[in-house]
Amino acid sequence: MTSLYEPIKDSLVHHFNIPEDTVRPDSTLEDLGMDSLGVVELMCVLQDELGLRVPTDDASLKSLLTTFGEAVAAVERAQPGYRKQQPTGSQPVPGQGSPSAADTPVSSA
Amino acid sequence: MSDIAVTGLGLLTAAGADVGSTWRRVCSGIPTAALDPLLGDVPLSCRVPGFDAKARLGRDAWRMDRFAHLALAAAREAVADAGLDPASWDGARVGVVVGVGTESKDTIVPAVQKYIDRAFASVSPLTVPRAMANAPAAEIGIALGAYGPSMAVTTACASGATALGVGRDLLLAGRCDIVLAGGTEAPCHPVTSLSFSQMGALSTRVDDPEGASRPFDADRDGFVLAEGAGILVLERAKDARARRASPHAYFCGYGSSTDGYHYAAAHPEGVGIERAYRAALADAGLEPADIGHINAHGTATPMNDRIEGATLGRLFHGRPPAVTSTKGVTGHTLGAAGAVEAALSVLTLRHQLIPPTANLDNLDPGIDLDVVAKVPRQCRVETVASNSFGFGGHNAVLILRRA
Repeated sequence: MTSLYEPIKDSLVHHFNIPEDTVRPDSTLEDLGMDSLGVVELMCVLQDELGLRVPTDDASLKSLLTTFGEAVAAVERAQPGYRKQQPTGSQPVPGQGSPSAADTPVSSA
Repeated sequence: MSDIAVTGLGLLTAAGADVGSTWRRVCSGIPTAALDPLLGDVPLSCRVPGFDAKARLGRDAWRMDRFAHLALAAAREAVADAGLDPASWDGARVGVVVGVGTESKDTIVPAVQKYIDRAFASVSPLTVPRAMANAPAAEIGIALGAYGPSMAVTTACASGATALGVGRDLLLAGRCDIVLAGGTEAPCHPVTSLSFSQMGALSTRVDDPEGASRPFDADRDGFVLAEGAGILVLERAKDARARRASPHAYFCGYGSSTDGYHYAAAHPEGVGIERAYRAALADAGLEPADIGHINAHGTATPMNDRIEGATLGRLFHGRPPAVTSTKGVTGHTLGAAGAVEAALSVLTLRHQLIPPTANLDNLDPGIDLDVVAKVPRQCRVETVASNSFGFGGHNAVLILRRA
């Protein structure tokens, strides 16, 4: 299990009142009862509560058929440390562009 | 004119998170005001005890601010009390009218701070839909399947009463068959508290929180901020009879008016209050002498209580019936107050019991009213008038009759 999986799950369970046992890596966002605004809200919560940088243009977060595991992976790809772990010459990953004011996490604002 | 029946009640106040516990505490006369360190320079409030929104409302609670939580919980209680089943009612004939006095700060204040910090991407997408005044009405419609006319009504501290009047008008006009009407407010936020504090409207009795809300008392010094919600189920009496529902009371008169005088202060002569009273009496086909009890606005601000007392004295030719202000126990729930007090007035009619005005130790010598103090008064009450007045000069008077 990836390092951000549990903290993101905790935020999801706490903030959205989702029964913990229904949150699994293969649950789709739709299965979890999320709508598109709920996904945006989750990204805000992750910035506020966990100080995470959130992906602003990751295609996987535009679909409610994305699984929770895929959504966590998208958030992980957006973290500053993630890029350093990539082999040279890897394809750019959505959400890894230059940080703008709009995606600066609150914790560093 | 056809009678409008009150067939269901829902209440959440600092006196209790449902109708039964609120009524018992209000009748006990034990105040609910307490220190609230989260507020600003006047750390006093009355908060609903033991209310867990997620436990009581389920998953969708996440997307609502507290004023909607309170309203939805009150609506659920009222609908159950009325013996109605939203799974089987004709939702297209069910309306919702919810008064909101100020506005919800829960989501919008953090959003403003994020904007100032230029943390644009963490501004909640629900900042507007959570905070909008019509959110409580909308959430009740979604949760209960009420698909008729629905709206927010906002006339400051008269909002709950105005909403009931508007709801009654919808029924009289035949626009729906059932109306869930009332008010809600969750104002225990430092910004709201600071605004009222700067106006000098709040009691500053922080060394004696229980004694802070003291309507009509000589030593009153302002109101205590309170959260709460009240929702009443209204139906035409013949419809209630047809489904064998037993009304708690009849809502037989409504009058509203505007001072057109000042953005915050009431007209010193109470001319707007008097207009609303006369309109409500005419609507009910009653004379002042027919009113058996008054649930006063009675906020415990020096000016309100004096103007209200003088106006009632004039209207009732020096002999107003027994008066109470339940705000001594509940604090001032602003936009919910008119609905909370309408529900308490209905309970007075049912139980033939007038709750006392808490903290009334010495009646202001400038106020010539028979204010029920210390202990509840058991007496025959056939009609109650409930008063609500709001910033902006909005006045609403409701008249309720024993079923």
